Amino acid sequence: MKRIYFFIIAFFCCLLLPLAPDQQVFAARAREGVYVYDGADLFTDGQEDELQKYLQRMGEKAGVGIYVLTSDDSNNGTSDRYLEDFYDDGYDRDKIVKDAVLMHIDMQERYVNIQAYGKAEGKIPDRTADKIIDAFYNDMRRGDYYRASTVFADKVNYYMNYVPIYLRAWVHLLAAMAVGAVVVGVMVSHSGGTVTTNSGTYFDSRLSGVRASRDDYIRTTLTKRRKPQETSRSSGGGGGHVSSGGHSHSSAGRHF
Amino acid sequence: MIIQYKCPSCGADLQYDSKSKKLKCDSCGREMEVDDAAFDGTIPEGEGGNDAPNPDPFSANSIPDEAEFEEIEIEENQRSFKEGEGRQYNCNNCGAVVITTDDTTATTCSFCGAPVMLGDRLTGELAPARIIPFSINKEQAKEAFRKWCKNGRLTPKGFMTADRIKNITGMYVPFWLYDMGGTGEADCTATRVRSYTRGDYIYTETKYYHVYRRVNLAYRMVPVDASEKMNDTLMDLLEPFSYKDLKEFKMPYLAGYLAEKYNYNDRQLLPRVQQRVEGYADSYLRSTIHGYTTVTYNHKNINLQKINAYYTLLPVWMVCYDYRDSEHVFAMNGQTGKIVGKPPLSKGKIAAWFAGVSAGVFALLQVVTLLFFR
Repeated sequence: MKRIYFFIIAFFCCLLLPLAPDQQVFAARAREGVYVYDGADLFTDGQEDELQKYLQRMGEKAGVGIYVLTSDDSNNGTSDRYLEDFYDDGYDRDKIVKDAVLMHIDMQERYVNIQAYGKAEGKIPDRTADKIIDAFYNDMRRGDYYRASTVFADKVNYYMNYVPIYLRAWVHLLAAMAVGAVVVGVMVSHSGGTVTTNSGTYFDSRLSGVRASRDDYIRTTLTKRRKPQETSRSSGGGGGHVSSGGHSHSSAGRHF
Repeated sequence: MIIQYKCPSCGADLQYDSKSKKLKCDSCGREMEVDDAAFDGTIPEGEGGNDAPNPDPFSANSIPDEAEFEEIEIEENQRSFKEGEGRQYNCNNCGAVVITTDDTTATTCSFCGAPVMLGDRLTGELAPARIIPFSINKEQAKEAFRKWCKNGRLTPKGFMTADRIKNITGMYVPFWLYDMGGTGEADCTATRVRSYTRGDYIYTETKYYHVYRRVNLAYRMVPVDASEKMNDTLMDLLEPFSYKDLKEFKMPYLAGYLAEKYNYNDRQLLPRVQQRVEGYADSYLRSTIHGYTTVTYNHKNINLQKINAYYTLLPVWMVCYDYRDSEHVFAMNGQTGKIVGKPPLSKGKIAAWFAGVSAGVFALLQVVTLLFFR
């Protein structure tokens, strides 16, 4: 009977596993910082304050720093380069946190760019960054940059906390119980003895055998279908971009 | 007709000993080859040494019991049994009526414990052709059963101690061993599928074949339980028996065990064996067709016939076990020691195993998630 209790206690201990301390330490680590750099003056003062608060709040929830940068141009470089330099510089001077998602709005090129660093790189690979742009693209085109920025923050939060169905605890629990049921079922059905004879047990191979055998080719059919589009799956590995400061990140950008 | 085997030295009853594979006298330890003891139509010697009261046929004051004894002696010589009340046999030792059912062919005298064989139920049409003698004796069987109980992962704890074996009976169960032969024929359409990529397209090439097979089929000594009393599924699970120990039937092998005669003859059981062997033949036929992606039968024909059927006695230990007022019956292959039968199951243990396995798998999944996906 003792063993039974052991199993049951072990079982419930496992239920508690997913609650183990994980990423909630961000709040303590988060530095008081500026999250909005409105170089192109796209937001009113009120909007800028609101957005600053909103990005901070969402960032805490997501466990990453969420930054919105706007500029009239990209310092004679690409938007990619602009963001990379910003991150390298900010990281070195402790202005921004290591795990960060940055959005840059370049008003000269009318180009929006997203880069994700650190922990966020794995959670928001290129393809996901592109999806985030999809979500606020219409707002961006309409010129509602404030709304676009809040949607951006929402989506970052969503993807940072997104757990694929096969990684969810309740799915694991169901799967584990299914395995348990199958194992016990097999044990029960085997408890009365199993069949240990098969079609070979009484087979007399000296007297049996193939007497006639024919394999005639008839015809060939050929079907073709288009190769499915190459999907650049780089989940986990991020985008494979590296800034000049040596920071790897993922990214996606689009003209609006 | 009662047949008993007596020790030539001391006159006690001989029993078949599975260890030495000889008839053995428990009293003086003398052993005797089965062939030497085989009944040849006369009662074996040793009657002089019989412990039972020796009836004096000439005594006028014979006890009525002894008079009966004499009658039966006469019947033995006639090799037939015609009395109205039928199945009554008397022990040669003590004269008591041997309790039998209609199917019993060998048993022990319930009064004095002497092994007795009912000769008239083992001759003529009812004569077994072959026998596999017991290789496992009673003590070994008990020990094996105890071990099996202890290894039962789902059996309740009380059951595991296995000290409540109610009775354990060595029994020769009648089987028919069929030799089956015939032919099988299959006509199929099979395909081989190959896939390759060229340019922007994936090509799937399917080659169709017409496949024909004709095979000779032979299956030797497929056993089918011929006793009405025995559970068919239980008996099927006892297989396989190893036929290397198969012997020509001789009555002394039965000494000390129970034995029954068949209730169904070989023709009655033919459909059962046919169905079983057809399943085997089917998988053999399929195994001759290989190297294809899919195989569809257009036509299949398996024709199997009985070549021979041997009436054979196979050794089975029947174990009755009392657990919580209900009786559980187990059968053990008396040759290989394989045990079958539904043991009682403990709900607690089932729950524990379920919880344990589930928790283990769940923990594993969680650990993998933490290590590789976070």
